[in-house]
This record gives sequence, C-alpha cells and structure tokens, in this order.
Amino acid sequence: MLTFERPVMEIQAIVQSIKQRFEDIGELDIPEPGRLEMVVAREDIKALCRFMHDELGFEHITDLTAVDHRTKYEMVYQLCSYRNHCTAEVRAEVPTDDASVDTVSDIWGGANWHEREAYDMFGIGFNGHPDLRRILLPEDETIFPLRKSFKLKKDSTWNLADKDKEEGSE
Amino acid sequence: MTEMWVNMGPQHPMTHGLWNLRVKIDGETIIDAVPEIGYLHRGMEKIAEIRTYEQFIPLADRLCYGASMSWEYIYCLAVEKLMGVECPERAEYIRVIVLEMQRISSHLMWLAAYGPDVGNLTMLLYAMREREILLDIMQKLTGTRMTYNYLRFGGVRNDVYDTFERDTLKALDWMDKKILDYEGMLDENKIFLMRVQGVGRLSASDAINLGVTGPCLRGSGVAIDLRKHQPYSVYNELDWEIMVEKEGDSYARYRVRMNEMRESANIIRQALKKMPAGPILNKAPKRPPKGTAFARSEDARGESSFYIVSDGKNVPYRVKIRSPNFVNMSASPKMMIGNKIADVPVIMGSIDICMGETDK
Repeated sequence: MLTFERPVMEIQAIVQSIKQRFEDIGELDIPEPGRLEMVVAREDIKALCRFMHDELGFEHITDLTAVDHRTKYEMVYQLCSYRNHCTAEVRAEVPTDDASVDTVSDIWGGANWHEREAYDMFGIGFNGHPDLRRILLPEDETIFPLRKSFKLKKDSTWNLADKDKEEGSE
Repeated sequence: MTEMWVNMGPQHPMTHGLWNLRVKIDGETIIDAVPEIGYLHRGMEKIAEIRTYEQFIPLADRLCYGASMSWEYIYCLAVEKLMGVECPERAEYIRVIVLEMQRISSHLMWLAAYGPDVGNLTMLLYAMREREILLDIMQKLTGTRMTYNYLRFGGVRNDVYDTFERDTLKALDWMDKKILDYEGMLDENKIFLMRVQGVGRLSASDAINLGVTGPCLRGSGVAIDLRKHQPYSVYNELDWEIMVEKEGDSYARYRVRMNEMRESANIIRQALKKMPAGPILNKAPKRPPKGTAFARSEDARGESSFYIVSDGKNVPYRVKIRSPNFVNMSASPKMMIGNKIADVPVIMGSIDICMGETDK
C-alpha cells in the first residue's frame, strides 16, 4: 500500500534545484501554496520533464494541452507530485509554421492520448510518438477545429446551414 | 497461427455508451487491445468559445449526464479562481452535500450496469431503485433529475427546501440497509467471485505512470484522494477516510466503490449537522479579468480538471477539459492483456466508463 503522508522535498528546495539545473528558465514562481509555474523554451521541454519526473518526484501528468494565441501556439503541461504534495504548470511557445514538439509519452504513459488529442485538434506534431493518429474526429478528416482560424459556420465540412437552404428553397 | 483481430463493435451490450474495442486474440487469450473512441464528440471546447461564462454551466452538466453536479462544480471552481470570488459557508456545505449525493448515485448507476455485465441481472433494478430515491430528492431541490444547472459563480442557485434534512437522512438510512443486501447478493456469491477475482490486474507503478486516477488507482493500493491531498470546499473540516484495496484486480475496484458509498453517507450526515445558517450566493462580476486558472477535483470516476484562459471578454478564450475516463480507458489494454476474451466485459465494466466526458 502506497501512502503519501508528508512531503519529501519542500517546494522551495524544488525551485532551487530547477534553477540550478536550467539557468535560463523563465517566470519561475509560486503563485499560491503548493503550485509552481514556469516558462521554458521548446527545445528544453523533454529534458525538463525528464528531470522533474526522475529527480523531483513528479510522477503524474494531469493534463497536456495547447492554446492558440493567433501568432503562436502555447503548450501547457500540468504535472503533479504525489510524494511532494505540489503541482506544477510548464508552458512553452511553439511557432505556428513549424508546430512540432518532442513527445513526453515515454516519460509518462498517460501523456499518450493527450498528445493524440492535441494533434487532432490543433495539428501539432509530436516527434517520437509511437502512434500519432486522430482520436476524436474520423481518421480521414482534414480540419483542425480548435485553431482560431477555423470558424464554426463558414469552413466546416458539416455546413448544415447551406444544405437546408438548398433543399427547402422551393 | 490462430491469431486474429476481433471487433467488439460499437453496438454491444457491454458498451455503456458508444465506443469500439478491437482485441487481438490467440485462441481465447487476449494479446493486444485497441480502444477507439470519438463517436460522441460534440465539440464542447469549441462551443465554449462562443458562449458566455454562465451559458456554459448547463453545457458542463451534459459532459457526463450521469454525474453532472461534479462537472458543474469543477467548472464553477475554476471560474471562481479566475474572478477571485469565494462562496459563503452555507453554500459550501450545500455543495458538499449535493456532490456526495451525486457520488452515491453515480456509483449506484455503475453497480446497476456492472451486475448485468457479470451475469447478475437482478442487480440492475435493485440499484436503480435506490438511485430513484436520491434522484427524487435532487428533483425537489433543483427541479431536474440529472442535469441540474444548480451551481452559480459564488454559491448555489436556491436554498434547500424545508424537509430536505429529514428526507436525506431517511434515504441514507434506507441505503445503509440495502447496501448490506447488495453485498450479500454479490460478495457471498461464488459465481460472482470466480468471475471477478484475479481478473484485470493493474500494478501500482503502472497505474501511476499511465495517469490512472480514482477508484481504479485506489484499487491498486495507492492511497490518493484529492479531497484529502488538495482539499477544496470544506472537506478538511469533516472526518472521513480514504478507501484503499491492495490487490489491483476488478474485485478490488468493486470493493473500493462499495466502501466509498458508505463513506459518502457518513460525510453527508456530518455536513447536515454542521451546516450553518446564512446567505447562499455572493456577488460575482459579469466578466472575469485577463488570466488563466486551473482547478481540479475528485469526481466519482477520478481526477477531473478544467483549464480556462480568459482575455477579458465575456466569453472564454480557451477551455480545456480533462476527463478521468479518457485516461483510464487508455490504460485499459494493460489490464486486458493476458486474460481471456470473456473477461472483457468484467474488466471494462470495472473502470466505469461514461462516454459523454471521454469524447467531450
């Protein structure tokens, strides 16, 4: 039986070890008790995740998503440490014309389907993913619906509004 | 070679909800499995970008129509963090009571579906009968049986009616007697035990790595419950225990859920005694400031979370929904490999799948 009574490392010690290992990490701060936030460059995501999983005890990845800021995408990773009683949010910017990131599904198996969903909705590629194909939309679909350039009524392939007009126009 | 891929197709009595499962079998033993989802995809995250914050509350209900109060709660928690609004104490206690009642009815619906999966058809109507008693109370309180639209930013929509406490205590006393009946029907039944024990093992390290949460994680011997480890609402003022089992098979997951039903009844009784008088709704601004918010809670099925990005307008910029079933289903091949093909309903039923939240 695994129980997690007291934190093994305090959150200040976690912040110090991240700062020592990755000197140019940005905006590393503690917005509320038990929560870390940081911004990292795209190339360092995998190394940072490997470090946080192996040495800082972040055994669980809660969420992996992307946000479309019109000029860039922003990847957001939500990590959780059971043994240290804290959570962490890691953000990284990705340019829209070269939207690909290294996969973290070999570090946490739970990231596998989250990355497939991010690919399905945004079109972001994940280098090294074992099985990158669409998960929620049909396999042969070509749209990436959660991008801001995809407007709901105009360029959807399921454009029901025009079909109704044609059928009932007599 | 006798290996072949079998499609346990979208139409199958064990798929409560609509999903597909392709298993690769060698004789009768499973050597690979691929779940396929997406049949119920409704585009909730895209719709959220064209609805105001309050207009999304009924949509959050319909994420999982069987346990809708917890999805409303987690959305309201995230937006309240963004706005910086807190609830009055009476509203917090009412929220805890309805959330725990929702947990009991969700587990009862799981039990009503699991019994027939295993072969015990009587369980369906017995568990549904108890669930009807709880749904009657929720209907008197909120107006609907399943998709409530009851919580608001800063509190709840209306106060409890005057015989609420008496009705709830009567229902819980009746439920305590009936849970003993269910355990007698299932736990002392040799056929049920032979079907369920030792089937679908998931080790603790696999469960943590694959992101499994909820009763599936607690059934593998890992004592994690977000109501204790990151307490929200007034859970840390009440006295209750985490239910854990060590084995990691389907029987352990079944025992965890039965024990959780008893513990939820315990929490509701304490909350009814401790509930203070006072207001039930604080004022919340019409639009939240710019920023991001992340909130998570312990749903009946696991850890669910919302991540909301706001740019100051009256509609959200981005809403990300994390569903526990999405991840638990991705871990199901690990539980199935090595078992026989007739064990598939037993294993998949013990995960408690609801497709509404998996497909969003």
